Amino acid sequence: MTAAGDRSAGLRSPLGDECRNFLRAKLDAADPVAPHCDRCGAVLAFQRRMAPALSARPSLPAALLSRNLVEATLERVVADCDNGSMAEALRDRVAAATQKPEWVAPALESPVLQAALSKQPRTSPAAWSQVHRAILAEAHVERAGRAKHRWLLGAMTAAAAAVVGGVWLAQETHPETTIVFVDLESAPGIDFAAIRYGAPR
Amino acid sequence: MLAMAMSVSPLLAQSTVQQSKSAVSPGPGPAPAPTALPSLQSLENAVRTQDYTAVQLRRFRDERGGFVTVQERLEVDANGTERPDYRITFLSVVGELPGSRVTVKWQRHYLQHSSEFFSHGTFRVRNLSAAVTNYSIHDFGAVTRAGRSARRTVVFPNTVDKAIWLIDVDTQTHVPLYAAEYDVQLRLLAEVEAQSFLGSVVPWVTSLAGSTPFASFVAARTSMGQPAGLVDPNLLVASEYQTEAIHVRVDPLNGRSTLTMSFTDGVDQFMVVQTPNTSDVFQGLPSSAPGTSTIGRFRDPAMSALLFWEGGVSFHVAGRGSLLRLDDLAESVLRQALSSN
Repeated sequence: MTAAGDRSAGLRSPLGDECRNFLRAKLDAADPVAPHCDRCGAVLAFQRRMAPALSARPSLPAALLSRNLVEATLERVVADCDNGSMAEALRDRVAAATQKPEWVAPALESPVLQAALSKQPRTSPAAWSQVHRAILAEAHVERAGRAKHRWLLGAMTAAAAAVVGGVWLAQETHPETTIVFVDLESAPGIDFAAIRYGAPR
Repeated sequence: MLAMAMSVSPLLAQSTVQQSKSAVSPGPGPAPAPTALPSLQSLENAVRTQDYTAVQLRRFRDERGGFVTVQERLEVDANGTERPDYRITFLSVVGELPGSRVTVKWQRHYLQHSSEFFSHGTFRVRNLSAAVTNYSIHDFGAVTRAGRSARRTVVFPNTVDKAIWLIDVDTQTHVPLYAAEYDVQLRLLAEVEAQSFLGSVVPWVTSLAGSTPFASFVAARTSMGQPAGLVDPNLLVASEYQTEAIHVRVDPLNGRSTLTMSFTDGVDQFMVVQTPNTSDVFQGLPSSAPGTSTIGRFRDPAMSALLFWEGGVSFHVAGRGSLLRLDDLAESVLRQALSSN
């Protein structure tokens, strides 16, 4: 164990267990006590000297309370960050993200793409007439099927009309009105408002 | 303030609940004994029998929660009915110089609306049997108000959508010397405070009232010339309310008649006002498409107001802010108007 007060090694040696236990028990003692060793005595003496000063909280200098100082500090921090390496990296990344890819512009001017867009589809007259005949053939089939059930459809429609008309005549029907509430931003000019709020302000 | 009322008196350790549901007499009874605790019956009896003159401060709440205090003189000449003769005179605005712009504005306002302050703007037992059914009264001890001995009393509604009233009742006459209106969240909405009180009044010549009272909706509509579109409101959604008064007022500027029906549950009030031969103020709004009708609604803690138009008649339903049922009532009245047109 290094002797107390030995400063020849530069850094002070750590407290031994005996000194530590002694100081833990005696630092807060109201009456002065005999020190365990010179080092403990030095610690106790230092604590007695500093206790009054440490018990009183020092007041802040007026300059530190100044609003200008705070604002100037913030501005310096912002300026330093703006010129730092992180800001440069962010600027580079944003510039790269907004830059257009290099292959887009030349591709739009490519003669291959222009030729593909300008090509018109060509169909042969024979193929188109064949499609025309198929459509007409389907229409003839549907018309024949509809004619078979037309009389039944007419009878059903007449019956439904008779039922609906009878129901409508039997009831007093009124179209249901939808009521919408619209909230007003200020009190209306009514007598009750004059009673509650008095004269308009 | 309400919490203070419950702990202000060192004389009482507990409140006294009075809920007299029997022996209700609508007629004027004997003057209350000086030491009797206030009851709904004694408060209603004071309206019928007690003359008085009071200088009082009336505080008006604005939409932003601020207050303006106006000093007024109230003279009441009891006539044995629940609607005594009264006169309110504007005196000053607290904090304002006489003749200032604000004072002149309030003076003009009082000329136009002072009669309604007594009818609708403070605590009064308007229907004793309904009040006994819908409210309970609690005594919180002795206080001094306007230099007189009074009892601090709270009138609680039986439902949460009505105002709670804190009143200091004069021990001798059972006239409220102080009345404060709170909503269910204990926000102060209105306040009237007597500064001086005298149990007598100098009679005056009553001028012709600006409005004419009627006993029924049919009589009022007949006096207006049977205009189309008027509605006798159906009170299904507010079944504990009953008709308090029906008036027809004619605007001296344009000769337009307005039918005002007020309804009460004994203490609380709301109004249904109908003005025929008016134009639709909501015409042209997006909400006024065919098949729809618009009800304009304003609500804050102090007031609910619903405005709508149908069949050439403009309607508005107005009451306290906590009475949310007025939305349903307005819709019901509008549907009545739609079905009759």
